[in-house]
Parts: sequence; structure tokens; C-alpha cells
Amino acid sequence: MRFFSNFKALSLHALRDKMSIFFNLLFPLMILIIFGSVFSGIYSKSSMKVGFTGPELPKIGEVNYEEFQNSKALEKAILTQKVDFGLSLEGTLLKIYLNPSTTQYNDYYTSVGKQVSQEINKTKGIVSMINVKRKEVSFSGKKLSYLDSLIPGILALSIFSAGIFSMTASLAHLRDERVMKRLWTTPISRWHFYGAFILEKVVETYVSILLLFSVAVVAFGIHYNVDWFKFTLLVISSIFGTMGIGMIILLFSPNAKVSSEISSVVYTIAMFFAGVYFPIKIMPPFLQRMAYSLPLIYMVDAMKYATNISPMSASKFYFIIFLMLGGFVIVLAGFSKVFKTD
Amino acid sequence: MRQTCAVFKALFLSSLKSPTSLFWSVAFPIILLVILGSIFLNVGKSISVKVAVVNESSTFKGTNMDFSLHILQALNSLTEATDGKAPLLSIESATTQKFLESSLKDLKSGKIDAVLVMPKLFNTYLSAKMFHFPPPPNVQPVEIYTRRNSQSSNIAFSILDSIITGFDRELIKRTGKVDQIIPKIEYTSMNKEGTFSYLDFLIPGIIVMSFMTVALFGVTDDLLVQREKKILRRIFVAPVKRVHYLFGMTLSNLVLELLQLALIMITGIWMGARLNLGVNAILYLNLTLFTTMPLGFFVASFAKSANSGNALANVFNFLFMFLGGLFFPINAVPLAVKAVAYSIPTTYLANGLRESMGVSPSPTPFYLNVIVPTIWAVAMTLYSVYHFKWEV
Repeated sequence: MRFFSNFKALSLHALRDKMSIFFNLLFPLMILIIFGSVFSGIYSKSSMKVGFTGPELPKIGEVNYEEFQNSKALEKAILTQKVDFGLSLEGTLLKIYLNPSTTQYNDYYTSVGKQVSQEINKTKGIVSMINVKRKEVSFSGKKLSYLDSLIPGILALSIFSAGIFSMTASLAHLRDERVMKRLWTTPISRWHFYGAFILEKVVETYVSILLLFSVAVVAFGIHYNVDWFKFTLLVISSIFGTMGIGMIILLFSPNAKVSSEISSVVYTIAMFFAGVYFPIKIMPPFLQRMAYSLPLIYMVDAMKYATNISPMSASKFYFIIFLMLGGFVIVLAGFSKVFKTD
Repeated sequence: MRQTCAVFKALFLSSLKSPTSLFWSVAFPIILLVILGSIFLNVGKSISVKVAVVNESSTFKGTNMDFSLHILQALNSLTEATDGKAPLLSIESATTQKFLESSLKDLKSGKIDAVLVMPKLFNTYLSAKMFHFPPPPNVQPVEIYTRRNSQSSNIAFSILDSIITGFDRELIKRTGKVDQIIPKIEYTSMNKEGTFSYLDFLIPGIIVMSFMTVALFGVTDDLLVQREKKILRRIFVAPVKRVHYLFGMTLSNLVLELLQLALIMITGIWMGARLNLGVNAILYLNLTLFTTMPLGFFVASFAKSANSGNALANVFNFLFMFLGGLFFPINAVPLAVKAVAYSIPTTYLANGLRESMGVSPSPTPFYLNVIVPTIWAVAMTLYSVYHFKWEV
């Protein structure tokens, strides 16, 4: 009964805590909407502006041409982003002018340039002797967009942030405000309080993840074949696991401000190495090693597996779950002995 | 003056003694520069991709007409490490349908990055084409299977495609057609040496970000926490006026920002960036400092507490950082996002700084790069002067 009284009180506290709602729900929502809007068209541009100099070039599906007087004017237009890239037919060379800063699109632009050269060759009666056909496959068999693989990553990042900050901000705040010290003078058992606190944070984070997921589905029209059992198991175990990380940070922090700041640093560094915004494989080897030594990348991979967009062996998935829960239990055992509420 | 210096000294020492303040204002921009620079300068350079080759072609074996073998040999030459770097490709090859099925399974599960299939009668087909005989009917094209939305798969495709295309060009040339059009990649550059790289593009963005971060979090953290803890009230009991405090705080942030600038430039040049810090760049850096400085006071004017100030600072930081084109060009974003991007000052500051540092011409006219940030700076200052509450 006391457990549920604690749970109810903490839930009401969370609902009234604007900062908690902001950082657990609104901020991840903002990230989701901004990144979703920015990345929703990536790798699938419906139209592109291509500058050219010299003779007219054949029309390719999604290309809108704009003519320039000379290659200098064309290069300037590319650098000022007036056109996406440029083409210039000089003798038997078709120069494909690219902007080094649009590094994420340049492969795609190059492939369009090559198509143009093939079209010109066709008009001259020169046809490729070797026809190459590209076939794309995916784990789920569906045509996945870049956004499809981004959203499970954003969900995993939100869990990571909520789990860590629940300890380093919320619990540390209760300690700093001496709420816990006052509670210990009542007949409330410490385990009732901690149990209720952890349960409330798990429920709060799970609900916020579901809300984020719903917004992603509604706003961006994304449909996953979610394995709800594995999804729930992963979300809950990840919250526990990241709470464990939060507890470790809290043990080394004198107050809520310091622990929140350390958490921000940990979260920011982990974010870059999660394989969410930048694929790990394109990183230099030393950064790859760093990425694989952090837990977030495994959470992201497991989330992609639970949403059925990328593969993972069932044994690896359950091993990640086991590590999250096991890690939490071990940290909790140490935490309960070392953590001081004064 | 003495009071201003005292406030400056106290706040600056406080920043230096705070590990988190040092992390965000000094270390974080450098870490970001190294991470983004390493990732995007590394793309396609030291990457190693795994490819399965299914060679179904069984004709003309052991002759000069075994084209599939020549392609395989060309691919195998890329499996050797050069200059101490990892090999570009690692290849597994076989001829059976069973191998194709297991390779496609491996491709879907991410164990390999591409599957190249050279069809049956591939050699016969090419031989016939070369000697202008009718080719055998229903010969399948060469197929390259890749994983959707995978960067490494895209790179694997580029490598395989360029090898096959090169081979194709050579065959066409041998048939006597010498005027075929060949694509050639050229990178645009503003400087005469033609050395413009992503790193050059990134550094001005990181400079704008770091100035903005100090202004946002430096002010909201110091000012709002001190207000909340009634420290400001106690300071103003002493012979220190608000204007002394404001100048002291501004000076403290300014020194921190100059320190950042020096570190970013040194790291950037060490990483191979080519930047021009001439008169135009210095003038524009001053405008950037002038524009970002009131940002913290502006956000603090909205906040009733240090916590809400911190939350607001996070929102502004995030919007200005990712929609301002600080790290990537914003020309490819949807129209609605572009509308927001072109209404915030960081977009113009990054454009203006890149142009003034000789990195890249600005997509927006120079007068807008000056006017828009100035309007923001004046509006934010006026709003802060009228709305910031020194006591709560």
C-alpha cells in the first residue's frame, strides 16, 4: 500500500514537473520533428537543379537544368548552393562538378552524372556492352527510407537520456532538496520509496517513448512491423540499464547540478557514437572502437531489430537485455550500500 | 572600470574552475570538429567493404575471352592493403546458386555490403558484342545487390560499378568507337589551389556554434543561477552597478570565445584546413561576436527560473545549430524547414563567415549576412533591456 502511495505521489510530481516533461517528452519530440523534416527527403530527392555549361544535355527524369556562361559561373553557383551540382561537356569528357561540403549527397549526384553520360553515348550510337543493374534489398523486404532507420535510433537516444537523467536530475534533486531525508523520518521503507521511484520512471519513460513513436508514425507516415514483446522488453531493460549508468554518475557527483552536467557530457558524446546520425562504418577505426565500447550503439541496434528494420540474432538481442538488467542489479546492489541521502 | 574588472575576474575564474563550463565552451567544439571532420574526411578513404562475387559465367574458360575472370582479377587487386591502410575490398567468390542465396542472406543481415552477380553466358555475350556477332538471347545483365539506405553498401556499389564501367569503356574502345563520353569528377573550390574540403566548410560553422554556446549557456547559467540564489541582489548592495556587471560578464564571455577561436583554428589547421584570417574575416568575426552576445540575455529575459532558462537555452541552441546550416548545407531541406532556417541569424552568420574566411561564396547576399544578424542583435538587446528582471 505504501509502495503505491509513493508511486502515486511521484507520478503526480512528475506530471507537475515542467522540466521533466520538457526534457523527457518535448525535447525528444522537437529533435524527432526537426531531424524527421530535415532527413525525410534524403537519398530520394524528387527533383534536383543541375547547372551546365557547353552543349545541351539530355533530360534525365528528376533533373532540372540551368545553363551557365562558363565553368567559373557554374562553380560559383554550386558553391552558393544555387544548383545541386554541375555538368560540363568538354570534348569526350563530361565533367561532374561537386561541392565538397555536400558530402552526403555526392555519391548520388555522381550516379546521375554517369546516367547523363550514358544517355549522350546512346545518342551517338555507343551503347554500354556491359549492362549493370542495381537491386536493393532490405531485411524486412520493404522499401525503407533513411528516416525509417533514423527513428528507432532517436527512440533509443531518448531512452538513454531519460534513464540517465531520471537518476542524475530527478533523484539527485530530491536528495538536494532534502525530501528523502524527511521521508526517512516517516515509517516509509527505503525500498518502498526507491521501488516506487524506479517504477514511476519506467512507466513515465515508456509512455513518452510510445508517444514519440506515435508522433513519428502519424507525422511521417512510417510503418514498422513492431515485435511488441521485444520492443517492450527492450525499452524496459534499457531504462533499467541506463538508470544504472545514472546511478554511477550520481555516486561521483556532489549535487544535482554536477550530476546533470556530467550526464549531459556523457549523453552528447554517446550520441555521436550511437550510429544514429552517422554510420559507424564510415568512421575512422579509432572512432569505431570507441563507438563499440559504449552501450548506446547496442541499444540502437536492438531497437532496429525490435522494429524489424535490421537483423540481429535472437541470442544477441537477449544477451543485450540480460546485460542491461544484470548491470542494473549489480549497480543497484552497490548503489544501495554507498549512496548517501545526506 | 575597477568594478567591471572585478566582476570579469570573478566570473572568468569561476568559468575556468568549472569543469563542465570548460567542457562545453572549450572541449566540446574541438571534439565536435574532430569527430565530424574525421567522419566526413574519411568517407570512402579508409573504409573497407565486404563483397561477394557470384560468377555464373562458364564459357570461354582459360582463354582471353574469360571477361568475368578479368573483372574478378581487377577486383582482387583492390583486396591488398596499400600504404599501411586497410584494403578497400574483401571478396568471397563462388559460382553456385547456393552461394548467391547465402550471400543475399548475409547482405540483408549486414554481414557483407554488396553482391555482384555475373550471369551465365556473360563471356559469350561480350565476345559476340566485340566481334559484332548476334549475341545469345535472354542474357541477364550484371546484377549488383546492395542494402537499402546503407552507406557502406553505397560505397561498395560505387567501387564495383567503377571497375565494371572502366572495363566496359575499354571494351568499347577496342571496338573502334573512340568518341565515347567519359564522366570525370571535379570538386569545386573558391581558392586558387582548388583545395576546398568539408573541413574548411565545417570550421566557420563550429566557430559560430561555439560563440553561440558560450553566449547562451554562459549567460543563462551565471545570470539566472545568481539571480535565483539572490547573489545578484547582494552584489548590487556593494558599489557595483548593473552596467559594471553586464560589461564584466560580457568581457568574461569574450575572452572565453577568443580562447575557443584560437583552439578551433589551431585544431583545424592541424587537421589540414586552409583558412584565411584576413581583415574581412576579423571584421565578420566581430559581427558574429556582437550578434551572438545578446542571445543569452534574450533567453534569460523569458525565463522565470534557472531551470526554465536552461531548457530555453537548449531549444535555441538546438534550433540555431541544426537549422543554421552550421555543419551541413541546408539547400536540400524541405521548404518549411528552409523558411525557418532563413529566418534565424546563424544561417547568415555561417554564410558570411565562410565567405569572409575565403572558404566558400555565400548563398545569401552579403548585405543580408550583415543586416539580418544585426537586426537580431538589436532586437534581442532591446527586448532584454526592457524585459529582463534583475530580481525574482
